[in-house]
Amino acid sequence: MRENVPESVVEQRSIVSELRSSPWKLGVVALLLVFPPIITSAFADAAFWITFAVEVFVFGIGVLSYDLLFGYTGLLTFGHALFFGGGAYGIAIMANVFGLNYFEAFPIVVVLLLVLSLLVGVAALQLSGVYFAIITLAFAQLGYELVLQFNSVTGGVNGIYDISIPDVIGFDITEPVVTYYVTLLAAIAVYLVLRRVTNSPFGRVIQGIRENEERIQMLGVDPFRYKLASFAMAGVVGGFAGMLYPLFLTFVSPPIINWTTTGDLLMMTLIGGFGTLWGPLLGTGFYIGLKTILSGVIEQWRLLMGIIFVLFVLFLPSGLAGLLRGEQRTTSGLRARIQDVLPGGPDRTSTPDVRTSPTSEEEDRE
Amino acid sequence: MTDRDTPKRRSFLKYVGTTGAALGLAGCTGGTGGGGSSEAFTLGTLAPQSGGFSASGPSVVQGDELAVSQVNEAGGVNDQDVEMVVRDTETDPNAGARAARELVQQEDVDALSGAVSSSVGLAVAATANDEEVPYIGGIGSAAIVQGDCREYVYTNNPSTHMVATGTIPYLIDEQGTSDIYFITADYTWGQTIQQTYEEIVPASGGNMVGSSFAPFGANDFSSQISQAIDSGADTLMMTLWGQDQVKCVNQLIQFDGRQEFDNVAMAWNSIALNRSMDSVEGIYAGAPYYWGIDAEPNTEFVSAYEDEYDEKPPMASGMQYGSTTSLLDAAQEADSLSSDDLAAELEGWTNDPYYKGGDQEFRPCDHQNISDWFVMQGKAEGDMSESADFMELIERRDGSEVVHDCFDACQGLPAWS
Amino acid sequence: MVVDSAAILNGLSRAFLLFLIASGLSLIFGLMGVVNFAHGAFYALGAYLAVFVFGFSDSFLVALFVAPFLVALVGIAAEATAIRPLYGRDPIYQVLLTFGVSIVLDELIKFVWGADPLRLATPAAIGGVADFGFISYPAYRLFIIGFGLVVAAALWLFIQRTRVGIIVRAGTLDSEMVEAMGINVRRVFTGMFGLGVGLAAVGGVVASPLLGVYPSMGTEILIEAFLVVVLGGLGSVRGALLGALIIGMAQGLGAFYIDQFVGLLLFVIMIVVLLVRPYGLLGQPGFVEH
Repeated sequence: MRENVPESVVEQRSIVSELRSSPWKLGVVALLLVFPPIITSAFADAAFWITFAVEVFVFGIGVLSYDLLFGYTGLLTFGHALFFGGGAYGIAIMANVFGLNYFEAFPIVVVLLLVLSLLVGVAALQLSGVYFAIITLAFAQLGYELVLQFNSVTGGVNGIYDISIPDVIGFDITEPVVTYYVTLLAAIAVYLVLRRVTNSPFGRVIQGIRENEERIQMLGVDPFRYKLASFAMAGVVGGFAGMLYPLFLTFVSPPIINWTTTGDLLMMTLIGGFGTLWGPLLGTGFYIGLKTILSGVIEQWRLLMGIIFVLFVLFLPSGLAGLLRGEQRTTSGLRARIQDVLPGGPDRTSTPDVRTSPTSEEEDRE
Repeated sequence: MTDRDTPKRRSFLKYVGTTGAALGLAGCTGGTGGGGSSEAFTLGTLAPQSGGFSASGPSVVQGDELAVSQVNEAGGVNDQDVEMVVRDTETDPNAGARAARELVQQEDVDALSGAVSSSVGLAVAATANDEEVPYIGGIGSAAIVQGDCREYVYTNNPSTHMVATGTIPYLIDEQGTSDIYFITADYTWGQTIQQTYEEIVPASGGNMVGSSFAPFGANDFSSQISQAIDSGADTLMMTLWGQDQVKCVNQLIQFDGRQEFDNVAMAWNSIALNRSMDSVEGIYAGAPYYWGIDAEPNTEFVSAYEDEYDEKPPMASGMQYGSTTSLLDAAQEADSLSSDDLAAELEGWTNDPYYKGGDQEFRPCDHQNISDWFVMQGKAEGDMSESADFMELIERRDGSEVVHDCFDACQGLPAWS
Repeated sequence: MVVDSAAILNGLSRAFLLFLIASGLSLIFGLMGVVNFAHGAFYALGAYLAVFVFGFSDSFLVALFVAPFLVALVGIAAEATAIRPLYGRDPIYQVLLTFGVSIVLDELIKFVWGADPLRLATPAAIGGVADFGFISYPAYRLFIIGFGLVVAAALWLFIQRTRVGIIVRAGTLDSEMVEAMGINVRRVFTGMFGLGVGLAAVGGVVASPLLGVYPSMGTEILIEAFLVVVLGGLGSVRGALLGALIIGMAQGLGAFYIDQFVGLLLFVIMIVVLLVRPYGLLGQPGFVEH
């Protein structure tokens, strides 16, 4: 994290000026708004691509929440599936056990998610770094085991099916095109809200915590409260993404709450470019798109994805966002990396305790 | 027309699929040309080609492929060759649902088949019904016709009731079983079967002396095995799935467990599992299919399968072959490509003889496939005449004897009769 | 009484199997601060290579020695190319990288060997049942217990008594000083990574006759290995042994008496331990205890 100083640390913009300053972001949004009618007229299998887009939006919201926690606050969590899946299961269980419909269950689940994220956050934030990652993993797996165990409530291995969603003002919101716009708007809203948060003083504090927690503490700030707030926010937003799941899938099943789902979120965030909000969205599109296109063609697409991820960690840790913004690697270039591996060693000390300092500043903003 | 180059053909179809079926390139395989929705009947096969059940993936595909190629050799459906497109479910319900959607929306399939994991089967069933495309569930699909049944969904898989009833009464009646200890999978499939055991064991004159459960993905069965041995039962009944069954058998052998009981049995078995077991000698097993079934249609099926794929057909292949042959025959009979017509035709569809001998029916009241069940016993290695010759068939049980009653199944059905 | 003896032996055999796998994980973290998410994948690779070697040699013993050695080579290659460049960076990157490596290794295994489960036969000499009069118990599980004890002792001797072991211990305390004394710390670290994943591979070979060889075996065991190491203390091999004993016995006895909730209980234990003693029962921040 020390190597990357993303733009958002040094900026503070209002929403309007934010959008105005990045015309291509506005362009993307406009494109997304007209996507359904265009694709419906051009392709017979439009419904498939619309549902694909919905999946990208829903996962995108999950990834945005993950970026808030990992990218901005610097907390690597392996337990995010607990909230993402928790939101989905929350809605499903409310429907299954308590007979509530989707809209009645919604606010209840949001409150439950907030409580859950505060409880887990208070516990998990006693630790930091690697230990934090491990305890979040433990919490997530505990959730997974609970789901499998209490199968009268959760449907066990099979999950819960046929979640009913009533019409809104006469609209069937599970109709693919309607779902598309609902989830697109939700994603845009979440993005704008999180953008506001990360640009606010709160946002600067959490990024400060990511960079150097001790220094922040010496400024008289209590990092724990900020980390907890960030954790809770990420938990609720991540859960919100999960709650949108039944709109396009009508069922929930255990894989959504398994730690491998967090792994997917992590890969999308890193490949996209953590700490930028829009980067991980790119990463989501990239990941799901590659998965959808490749899995019909080669059987080993996951191997390819893993290799891409490893290469990004090694050579492009600032992700696609970094690539697009022309960021150089800040500690050593490709050549230095190769020199590391050759006999004779690198031309700098490389024992684990030594930290190299960032050597370059920001380059272009958009 | 039988296309010998099956792997290449498959990947060509996949490639075509992802770059836009609208271009109508599907016609290259010998059907009609032109248009997004070709006149040829298109089958969408869902198989776990990656993920936890990927070992069964090829079996599912091969079973369907053989059915399709034989139907095509006999003239196809509606005078045209049937086409087949395969998609990977990744043994994950979300991916399976997505794959099903892809097949329906992009490939314009007329029917869906396959899936091995029960949760994937449920996901595909939900999608198929939403899209109003007929789907015959594969191996793991016992659950898809319980609870809310769907008009477009059928299952080829024996229900949990059938699995439970298939083997135990035989053991009690014919093999002197009286006190039984159960080791059962601790999730829905196993638990439902266990509940059925609780009914039928006393009813058949046996005793349940104890049971222990193995959680999903269990590794170590030592405690269940130790407790079983300690219970003094004369029979051990294992109701486990996939790799769990393999581990339990191997660990049982390490405990010399077969000596501790008069009878040891597996509720569900496939030669795919037997290959990984240290020995199957003397172990009873139940299954809806085994390649060694001595019936003429089966002998023909097995030799055709062996010619094409150089191995004996495992359970998944047999079941897919059976369900897809029925599906295509029904499509031919329905004489129309409308989904509703096909779904209606399947309701109450019968085969006599069925590919494994005996007869078969897709019962209207719950869309459950009713066909014969088999009890087998494992052979000693020295008695095996060839590598897949694991089992000796002991008893064929008529499907109607083991099937559950209709009244505890679906409300909305029959949908078409 | 028979039940209890079996439960205890079950617990012990589970414990030593877990120890074989987790000791390497603990070692790698203690020495290099790397949380090796790919540990499960190396364990699986060990099992698969054992089947491969067995195919040539028809000997379990040969497979037991050769396969881990091969896996250690793979580990060394991975460390030198992928992990070493990250030492200068935030440790989070190492977690990310080993996570990626685990995916790549798992998929490579499927690519090479396919998805069908394979079989490694229980060696005939220890495949039967040992009869002690009051209990008959599988000889292979007794072998696991014995073999585990031998490995534990060998590791202890290595770290406490050999020159390399002393260097390794010193290296974690103050690697700059060690390097200043003319010792190539980097090479030691690379070697230790190889040893750590080699141990995981030994675990894989030993586990195979019991559990079978199949693609998801790595991810399944990873969570359990983390449980053990967290309990015992990341970085402490003695802790790994203690943690393995606790978890193994909990599973062995728990399966007898509380059956279904064992899985839940273990995660609750893990969370409680992390909160109360985050460094584990025997671990301490920064160096390896023996």
